[in-house]
Amino acid sequence: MQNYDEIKITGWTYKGFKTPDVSVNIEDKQDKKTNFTLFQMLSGIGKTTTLNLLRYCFYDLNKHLSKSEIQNIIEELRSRDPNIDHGEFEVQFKLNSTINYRIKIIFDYILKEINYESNSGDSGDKGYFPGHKMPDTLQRFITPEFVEKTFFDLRLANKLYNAESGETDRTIRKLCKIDYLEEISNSLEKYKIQFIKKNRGKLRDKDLKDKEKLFEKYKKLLAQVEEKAKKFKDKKYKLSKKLDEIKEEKTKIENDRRDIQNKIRNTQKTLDEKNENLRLAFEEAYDYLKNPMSINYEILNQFINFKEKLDAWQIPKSVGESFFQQLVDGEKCICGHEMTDKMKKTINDNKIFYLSDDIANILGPIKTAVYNFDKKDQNKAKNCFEDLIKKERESSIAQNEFYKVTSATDDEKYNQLTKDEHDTKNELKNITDWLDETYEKPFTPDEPHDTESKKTLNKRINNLEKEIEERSDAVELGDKIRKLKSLLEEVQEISLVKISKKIVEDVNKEVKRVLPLEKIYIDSIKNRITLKTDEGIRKTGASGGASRGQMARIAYLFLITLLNRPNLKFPFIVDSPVTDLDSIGREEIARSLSKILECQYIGLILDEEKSSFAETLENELNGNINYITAFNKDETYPKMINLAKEYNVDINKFNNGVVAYGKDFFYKFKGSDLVKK
Amino acid sequence: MIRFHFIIKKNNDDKIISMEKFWESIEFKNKDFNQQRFSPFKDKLDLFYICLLIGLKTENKIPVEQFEYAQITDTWTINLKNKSKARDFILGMFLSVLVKDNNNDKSKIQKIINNNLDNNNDNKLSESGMKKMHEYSFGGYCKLLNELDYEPPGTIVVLMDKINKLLN
Repeated sequence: MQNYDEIKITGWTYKGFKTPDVSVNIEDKQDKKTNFTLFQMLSGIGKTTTLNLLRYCFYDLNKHLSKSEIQNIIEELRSRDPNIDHGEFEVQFKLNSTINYRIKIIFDYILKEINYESNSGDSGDKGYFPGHKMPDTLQRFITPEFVEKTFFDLRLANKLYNAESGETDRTIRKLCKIDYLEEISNSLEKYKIQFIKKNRGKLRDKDLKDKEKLFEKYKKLLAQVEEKAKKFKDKKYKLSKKLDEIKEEKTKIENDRRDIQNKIRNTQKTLDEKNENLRLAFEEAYDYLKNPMSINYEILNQFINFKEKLDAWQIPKSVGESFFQQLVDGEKCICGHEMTDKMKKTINDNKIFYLSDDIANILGPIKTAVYNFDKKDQNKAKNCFEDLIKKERESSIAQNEFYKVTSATDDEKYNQLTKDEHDTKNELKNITDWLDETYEKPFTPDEPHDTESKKTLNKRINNLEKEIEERSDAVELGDKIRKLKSLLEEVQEISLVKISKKIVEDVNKEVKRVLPLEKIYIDSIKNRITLKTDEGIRKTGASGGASRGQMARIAYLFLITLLNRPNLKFPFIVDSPVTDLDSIGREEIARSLSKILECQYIGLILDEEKSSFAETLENELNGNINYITAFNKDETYPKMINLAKEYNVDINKFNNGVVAYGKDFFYKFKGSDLVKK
Repeated sequence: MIRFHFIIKKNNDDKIISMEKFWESIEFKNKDFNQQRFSPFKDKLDLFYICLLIGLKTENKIPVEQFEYAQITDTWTINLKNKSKARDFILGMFLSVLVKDNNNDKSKIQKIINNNLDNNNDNKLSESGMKKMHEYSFGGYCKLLNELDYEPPGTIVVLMDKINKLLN
């Protein structure tokens, strides 16, 4: 009897998305163990849409995303035809080769909502239940984080090398269930809450109840803020990557068009110059504001009058405190009269009308500054302020000129890239600002109640926690729970270190086979993957000193090794599985997959990815591969249809798409040959 | 009151946005894509100073009791103190406004100066002098906000233009 649960996807159906409206069946022959499927699509037909729709079928989006996030997903995946009001995607899968399941995700394009229907067991098409229902035994394991890794877009493999995202630790915690220890911590917290609640009843402390409410409110807020930060960090990574890709693509186009590049360079130079002029003008204007006399004659005269008055009255002419003291202490006044108590009192009362030495020291520089002021500065200040608008206009003209030159390339793609670059930068900036200036803001007592500063919220929570514990006689219990939680955290850290060490060892064993020429090994997977050479020398630099291909191969090995650990055989679906890999890497990855993977594998590949990869898999698996090719009938070219006819593919089965099964058609299907009228 | 403060809110007047919010719209931000990347305003005290200038020029002062406020810094910043001498100028302007109505009474002027200055404090003001200075700065801020329809300025040029108008 098998001691694991196994899920195998047996097919899916699209209707009303960017993809063609077709059904895809995946053969599952028990005897042949056909675990591998290569699903081929041309670029832009819906590979990544397929990956995402499959992901969304395995967990309920409504429970994990906000309304606006769901709306964004709907907009991203919806059909380009505005007359289509909804989309349906159904995935079929088997649990332990026996029970059939169907999950249908329905996108309502009018109400901007997502709904689910589920069918479990062998009841066929009838008997769909509203809502998302997964096999009970698997619900605990199949989390969004798990699905995101098992249904993986290899183009995002670089994230595993990014320290800020902490992706490796996060992945290990989720996939190896280390984070379940947090549930014990939560139970301890719940126990404490119950204890305090019980004690509160005895104490009849109304104020305590209010503090508890506030404590819960801050905890909830902190959880929301941390979740937001997590999403923002993910988004930041994706946007940075998108920005790099845009820049790379723009540079490529610019290189192809040197004349435009020169124009762009010149306008960029002018733009930089005008921007610098504006910056200097602002500095100059503020410098004038720092000397109010330079602003206008009215203020200047106010200063001059003030100085003249001080001069006329010989202010500051200071008299030291000691002078008055000596006078009062003396037997006679300086006029020769006997010093009486009344005279002493008068001197003490009136000495305030004389400036002290200290005050004179302040007035001196003020008078000097007024004296040294150059009246010519006034005209300069006036001109400077008037020039600001002119300089702003010049900067704006230079900016427009820059956009005009980049738009005049007659290259729609370049223009779109420029617009995307601008939009992406803005989006990235907003996210970075929030993370740096709000989320990571140091503790500030004056922060509002709904602050999103992690440090301030933590401080408030800790203070309230201590106060509540003290008032409800739960100090001892609180200390014990804190100790236990600290131990649990320690256990998590130790587990993470041990598991990480084992993963590094396992991956490095495979590296020898997969990277026979380069010999690059994983040095550490703490927060991110870092690499080392055969001699143990740590690789440095943003890419870890490895090529894209090397990084992708290591990332692949890391995921495969990690996914083989849980007692669950869940499909491993990879979008663009060998993108960026050279022929050696493709062959070796194919060999690794065929030998290491025990679960179902579905590769969503571009036609150009077949080379070296598909043939190697074919050889390693003795031909036990499902080959599927899908393309769009409406937008395609006659050669594609003719090829399908030649291979006896039923081109009329679906209205706007074609699905072809079999190795021969799969290998014959080559975009560059077929996309010609 | 011995330190510099920003307005958080004005009692019974929701139109007055906090100086912090205003500051966020004008402070120098290197990463910014609008004019803030060219902003000459680097320290919060720069905004306090601008408002003080406006308050003194327009002789607009509002008692600090009408506001909720939060501390921003203890002393004058290097930018306003050292090279520019802005601190000396603004103190001169402050005193000239305070003594304005006592033109012919030397002893009263000396008393006002003694009461408001204090060389032992790094900011050169006594506690009551500091409070009075805040009254002018807060008054100037409300005046500036009024000029901007109670919204933060869209650009630094708009801000400079409004400051220039209020001072002339």
